[in-house]
Amino acid sequence: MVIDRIDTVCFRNIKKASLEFSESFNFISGSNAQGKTNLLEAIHFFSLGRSFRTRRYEELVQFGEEYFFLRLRGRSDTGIDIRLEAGYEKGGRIRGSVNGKRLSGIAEIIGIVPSVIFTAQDIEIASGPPGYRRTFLDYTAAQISPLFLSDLKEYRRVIRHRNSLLRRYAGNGDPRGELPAWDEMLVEKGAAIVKGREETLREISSRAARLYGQISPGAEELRLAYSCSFNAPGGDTREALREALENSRENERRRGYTLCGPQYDDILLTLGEAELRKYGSQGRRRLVAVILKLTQALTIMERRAERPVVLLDDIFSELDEETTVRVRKHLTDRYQSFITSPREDDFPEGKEKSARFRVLGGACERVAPI
Amino acid sequence: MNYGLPPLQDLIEYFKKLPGVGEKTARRLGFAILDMDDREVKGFAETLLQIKEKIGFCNRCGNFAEGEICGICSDKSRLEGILCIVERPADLYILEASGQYRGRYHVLHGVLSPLDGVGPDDLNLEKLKSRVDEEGIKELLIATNPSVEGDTTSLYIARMFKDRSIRVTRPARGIPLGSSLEFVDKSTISKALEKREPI
Repeated sequence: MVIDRIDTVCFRNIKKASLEFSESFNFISGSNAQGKTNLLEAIHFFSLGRSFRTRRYEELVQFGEEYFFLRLRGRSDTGIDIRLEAGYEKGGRIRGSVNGKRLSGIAEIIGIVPSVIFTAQDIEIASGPPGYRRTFLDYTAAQISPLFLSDLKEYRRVIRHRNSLLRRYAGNGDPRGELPAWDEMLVEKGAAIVKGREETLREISSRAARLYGQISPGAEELRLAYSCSFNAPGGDTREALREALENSRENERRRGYTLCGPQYDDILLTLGEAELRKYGSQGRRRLVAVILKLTQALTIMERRAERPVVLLDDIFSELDEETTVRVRKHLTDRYQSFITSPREDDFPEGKEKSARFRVLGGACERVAPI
Repeated sequence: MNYGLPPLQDLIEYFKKLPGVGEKTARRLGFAILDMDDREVKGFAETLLQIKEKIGFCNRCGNFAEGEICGICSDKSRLEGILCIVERPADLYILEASGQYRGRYHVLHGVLSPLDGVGPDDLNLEKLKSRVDEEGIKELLIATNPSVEGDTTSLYIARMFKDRSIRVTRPARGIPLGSSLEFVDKSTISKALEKREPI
């Protein structure tokens, strides 16, 4: 996918913008709080039919205004012209259209502009609590297998039902004998989640290691391993989950919620022999987080017939110059990318096709190369 | 919209309670009733009243019935020894329309859903237990919807009878007949491939 141009009206602090993009690099600079990330948010909006920062559409409307409107023009990899529009008026519903055809729900827009975005908090994938790594893995798994996404939704539903049951009979057992059926369902769906995640990890771990080796030559090998909270490697997932449920029964009844299952699993990231989360430097963690996101992009490109666009929110500030050059080289010719930074000289003019933009107080303009 | 005609407005509001009927359709239906001749409207209204008076639930299976027992339960030609369990009467009619199943039914009137406060006592399960004994049931075909709740309900029912020599089955899921692969959603195809069978 290549995005040729975007038009926005009253989106966040951007009153009005019409920008034409390069099919390769797009550098967006501007001081903090001027609207750089808002511009990325507008571009990324078409991937999910919502913002990556909030689920509330009201928050996207410019202060003092009543509505926002976004339009994207681009080309699919098969050469088809695409025009996407989305609009929202306070108190109303979000509406979207594809090539002039109204969508019955904005969710139908998902998949047209596949994208990978790296924002400030994504460093948590490398250094934060396990939830960030699970979300990363689940998102990647959903790109590979549509069945995984429905399994995941169903699993979450089972947990919610089961928790509600545990709360209702807190400490008083299970008078109507419902728990065993929900346990069995949890085991069934939980095993499917673990299987999907492990398969995904097998597929992406060598890809991530290769990419890390290219961008950080000579560094220790990056390894990704699934760390199951209730099962030893090689063990039978169903059996192990059944046993874990059995062992935590009393505790669960006292506490009123589910205490075992893949919602407690993690991905173990190691560099050589050292666990990244414990021993990695801030710079290493940041780089690994970027590598994982770029691996996601490679995986989407491999598995889907459409190249994702890559959006990187201020990633170069903590990477050294050589690494920056290698990341740029990796992006060139692979993806259309949108990269923000508070400093213009973060992007010395390279050989690649590029366009530069400056954001100042919500006004966006294309500027001449430096 | 305000017509200054409160009775018409009320009628439109009632029509809107029906599934698939929005403002526009309700308005059309309302004006259509105004156009009907008096006798027909009277017949219509009486039929509406009678439907609630005369049709209740079958004492045996929970299906709709005019009288104590429904037509299917009192049909002597039905296959004995098997019961098909469904969530709602509407599901039963869909299965009936296939003509494939010749046994009797049992309607649960819901599925287990702790989040909505629906437990086993809220379903038509006690009756199911006694029927299995009284009617010498050998197979339970559980045709609840393939949702988390429907699946869990089928597991619950299977457990209810796990110490008895009763066969418990679920309808297979997969690619719909007569449809071309290109129109089947991705999850269904994945599931069908996973559950593939030898020929």
